[in-house]
Amino acid sequence: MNAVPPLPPLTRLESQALGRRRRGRNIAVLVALVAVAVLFYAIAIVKLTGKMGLPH
Amino acid sequence: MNTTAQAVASDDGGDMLSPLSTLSASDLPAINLGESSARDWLSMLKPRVMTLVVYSGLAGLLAAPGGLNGVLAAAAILCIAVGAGAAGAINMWYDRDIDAIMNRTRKRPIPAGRISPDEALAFGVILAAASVMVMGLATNTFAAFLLAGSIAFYVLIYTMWLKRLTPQNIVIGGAAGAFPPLIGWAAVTGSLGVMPWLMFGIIFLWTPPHFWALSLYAHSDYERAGVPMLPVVKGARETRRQIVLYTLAMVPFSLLPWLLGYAGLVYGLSAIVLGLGFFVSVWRLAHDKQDAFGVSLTNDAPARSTFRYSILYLFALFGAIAVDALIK
Repeated sequence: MNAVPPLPPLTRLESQALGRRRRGRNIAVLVALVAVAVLFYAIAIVKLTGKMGLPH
Repeated sequence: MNTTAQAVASDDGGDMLSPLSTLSASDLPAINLGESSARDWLSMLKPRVMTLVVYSGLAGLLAAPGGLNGVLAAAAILCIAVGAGAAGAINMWYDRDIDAIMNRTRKRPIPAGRISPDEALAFGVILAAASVMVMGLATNTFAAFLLAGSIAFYVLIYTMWLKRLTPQNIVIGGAAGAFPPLIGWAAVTGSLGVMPWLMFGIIFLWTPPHFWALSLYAHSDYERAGVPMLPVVKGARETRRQIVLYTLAMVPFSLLPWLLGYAGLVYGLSAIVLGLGFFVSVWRLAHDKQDAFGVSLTNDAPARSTFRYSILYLFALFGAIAVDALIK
């Protein structure tokens, strides 16, 4: 059985870059999720308001 | 996509090193860690293409009779943008083999190894489904159907079928880029009339001269990747001839919204002036100094100029449609 040699550990520079990249991606996901929640809320309010305005 | 080394860095907590950071933002892209950034995911949506899609969709929405609540209109435009971006992401997934060959595209996230093909496909499909669903919820089923149709057209008809098959790929495939005014209009009215189809026709006829002007000076990449763009298959001389023919069809066609009474004087005058500009630009392109094989001796300066002008042309023309609709 051939063992796969472990990859060399990241340098400090690479670790820093990796951390920033992941943090940036996490923030982007957070922003996107909040935006989607706000969008659905706004659409729901507009649709409900429109429905309430209809004559019975 | 994590390698063992990256997992080590993750376990160590790369963030703990950040107070000692000496990196600037510009250093980051130079280091390929096989890990994507937020910018990579954004680039998967082809934001530059998205700009034109949003713009023409907005013009269709504004030109439509009646009105749409601001929130719903914004949601509709967002859905058009995200739907187009999703189609772009699926396109990058499918074209990853030729993207890796072409200079212009080899640094994209998939060929560069920062985003895996599976991740890209999932990203595109989820966004496409979400954009269609939200469009249906915010506006109406017909607009959602058109949005789904435009995504399917771009992915299935253009990307997977025509792009690698025929030099006429962008003629028919270009229809995908002409959908946004239809979707914008349908979002307001729930149906289609003559005007949105005229807007569709303008973009449809505009795409070949626009894209072939670019391909006149950027065809070496396509040649290497085996994509049958018109200059690669038929040569530069035939490409110039086709550009002239499509321009001769497009400019008179662009006057129809005004002549048929669907747009006002602002649009009519804009279409005349901008169309004359297009004729001049294409006339220069057709009379470019060339060798016996039709290859430009001026480094394709007129083709570059025509490509730039074509973008300005469509922005100004659809801007005039929007202005006309707003002052009505």
